[in-house]
Amino acid sequence: MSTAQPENVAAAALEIEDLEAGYGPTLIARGISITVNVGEMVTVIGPNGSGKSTTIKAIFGLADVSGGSIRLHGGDITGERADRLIELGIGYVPQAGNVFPTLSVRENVEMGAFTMRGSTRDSTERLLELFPLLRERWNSRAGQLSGGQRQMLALARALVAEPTVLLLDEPTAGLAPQVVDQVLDQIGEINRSGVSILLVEQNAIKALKHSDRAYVLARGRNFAHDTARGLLDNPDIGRVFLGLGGADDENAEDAA
Amino acid sequence: MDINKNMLRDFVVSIVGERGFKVLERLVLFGVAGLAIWALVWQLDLTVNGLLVGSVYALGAVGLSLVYGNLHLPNIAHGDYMTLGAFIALFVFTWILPETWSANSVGPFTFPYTLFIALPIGVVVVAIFALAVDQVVYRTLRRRGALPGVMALTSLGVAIALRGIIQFIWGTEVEHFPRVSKKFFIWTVDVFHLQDVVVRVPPDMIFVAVAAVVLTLATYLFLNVTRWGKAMRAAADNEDLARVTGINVERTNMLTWIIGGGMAAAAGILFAAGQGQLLTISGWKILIPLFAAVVAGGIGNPYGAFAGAIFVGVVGEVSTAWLDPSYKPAVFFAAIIVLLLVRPNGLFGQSRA
Repeated sequence: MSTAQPENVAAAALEIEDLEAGYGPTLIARGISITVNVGEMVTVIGPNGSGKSTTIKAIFGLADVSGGSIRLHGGDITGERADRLIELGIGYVPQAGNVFPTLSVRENVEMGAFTMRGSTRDSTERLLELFPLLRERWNSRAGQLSGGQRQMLALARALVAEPTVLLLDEPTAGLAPQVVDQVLDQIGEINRSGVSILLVEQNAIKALKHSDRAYVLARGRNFAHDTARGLLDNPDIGRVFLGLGGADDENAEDAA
Repeated sequence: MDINKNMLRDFVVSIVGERGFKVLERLVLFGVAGLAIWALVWQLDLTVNGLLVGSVYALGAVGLSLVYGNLHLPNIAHGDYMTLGAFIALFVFTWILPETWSANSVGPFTFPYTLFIALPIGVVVVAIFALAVDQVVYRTLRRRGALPGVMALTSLGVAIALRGIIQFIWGTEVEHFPRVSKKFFIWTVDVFHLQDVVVRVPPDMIFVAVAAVVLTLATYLFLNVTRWGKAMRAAADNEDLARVTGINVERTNMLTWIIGGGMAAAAGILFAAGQGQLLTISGWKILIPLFAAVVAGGIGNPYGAFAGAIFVGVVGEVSTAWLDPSYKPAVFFAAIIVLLLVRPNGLFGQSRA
C-alpha cells in the first residue's frame, strides 16, 4: 500500500521488523514493521486494537514479543531490560499514569535520570527552558498538576536521560484541544533539537502536521505508510482513518 | 466518602441554613478539640503513658507502614519478625555474651551495654530472614501474578509458621531480658489548681521514645533524600512506570524488605528491653494496634505511622480513665473510624490519583 518511499533511508535510528507481540496468549501485533530515521518524527495511527500502542510497549517489555526484531542504530535491542534501553539512548512516555503522583516534579525529573551517572544539572536546566511551567511547579506534587502539565513533566522525565530516540504513546489523550496543540508543538520542538520521535497518536491530523512520515496500522499489520503530507492528501486514508468527510473538513479532527 | 459527607452537610444545611452550618461546624470543631485537650491535660499521667505506649507502637508501625506502602502488602508477619528479633537478641545474650546477666545496667536504664551489641545482630539477622522469605515466597507469587489478597494471606501463613519455629526452638514460656530495677522518673503536676497528677515515667520508655523518633526521622530522610529511597517511593507509586524509567524494581523490593525486616527487629528488641520480658506471641499481640496506627497515619508515610501510633497510644490509654482497659482497642478503632471519615487517607496520607 505504500505510495512513496521515504526520502532518507541512509541512517535508521529505530527499526521494527515483522514484530509480533501481545499480552499472554492474545496476539495483537501480527507483523508490524516501522522505521524511524535519524532526526525524523514518525507518527503511527490506526483504529483501536490495531497494535500501535502494543508495538511501543513491546520495545520496553510491557508487551510480550513473540516474533520479529527491534534494532536501535543497527544494534538488536529485542527483549532488552528497560534500564539498558535508557542507557542506549531510547526514552519512553507511556500513555496513562506517566508521572509519579506522590513525588514532586523535581523528584519525577530526578527519577528520569536514575540510570545516569554524574550530574544532570545541564540537561535539567535545558529542560526547564523548554518547559518553563515546570520550574514554577518544581516542588509541587506531580499528582496536583493539570493534564497538560503532567504530559510536559512526563516528557521532561524521559528527556533528562538525553535519549536519541523517544517513544510517545498518545501524549495528547484526554487533553483539551488548545493543550493538545501546545503539547504537539513542544514535541515538534524536541524533534527539531535532534531527537528522533516515534509517536502513537489519536489526534491523527494534528500529529501528522508535525510529522515527517506516518504509518497506518490495521488489525495488527501495516496498512499504509507515506509522508505525512501524502497521507493527509490521500482521500481514502482521510475518509477511513482520519475522519475527514471532504478535503476541507479538518475540524472533524477532534472526533478522530 | 465525599458523597456521604455532602449528604450529612446538606441535611444539616436544610435545617439551620448555610450560615448556621458554618457556626455549627466551628462549634463542633472547637468543642471536640477543647474536650480532647481537657481530657489530655486532666488525665496527664495517662496522656504521658499513652505517648510512651505510642512510641513503642511507632517503632513497629514505621517498618510495617514502609512495607505496606511500598509493596502494597499488609505484612501480617511483621509482629512475628519483631518477636524473632527479640529472640535473636536473647540468643546473643545467652550464648554469645553470657556476661550480660551479671553486667551493670547503662545509666538510668534497666538494660546492660550488651543490648547495643545484640541490637545490630538481631537487626541484620531479621533483615536477611525477611529478604530470604521475599525471595523464596513473595517473589514467586509476584511472578505468577498473585492477587494482593493472596499475598496478605500468605504473610499470615509466614507469621504462623515463623511463630511455630520460634516456639519450637525457645518454647512457649515467658523469657526474660537482663534487667536491673531502676527508679521511675516521677513528677507531680498541679492541673488547673484542681488536682495533683503524678506522672511516672520508666526510664527505658524514654529510651524507646527517643529511638522511635530517630527511626522515624531516619526513614523519612532515607525515603526523601537518597536516590534509592526516592526510587522506592516511585516504585510504590507506579511499578510499571518505575520499570520503564530504568529503576530496578526487583532491587527496590529487596531493599524494602531489608529495611522493613531490620526495623521490625529493632522494634521487637527495644520493646522486649522496655518490658524486661518477652513471649513468643508478643509480636502477634501488638499487630492490631500497629495496623491501626499505620492506617490512622496514612499508609506508607513514616511520620504518618509515628503520628498514628501516638494517636492510638494516647487515645487507648486516656480512655482507661473512664472505661475498662479491655475496651482500649474498641476505643482507638472507634476513634480511627471517625478520623478516616474526616480524612479518608489518614492523618498524613496522600491519594495516588
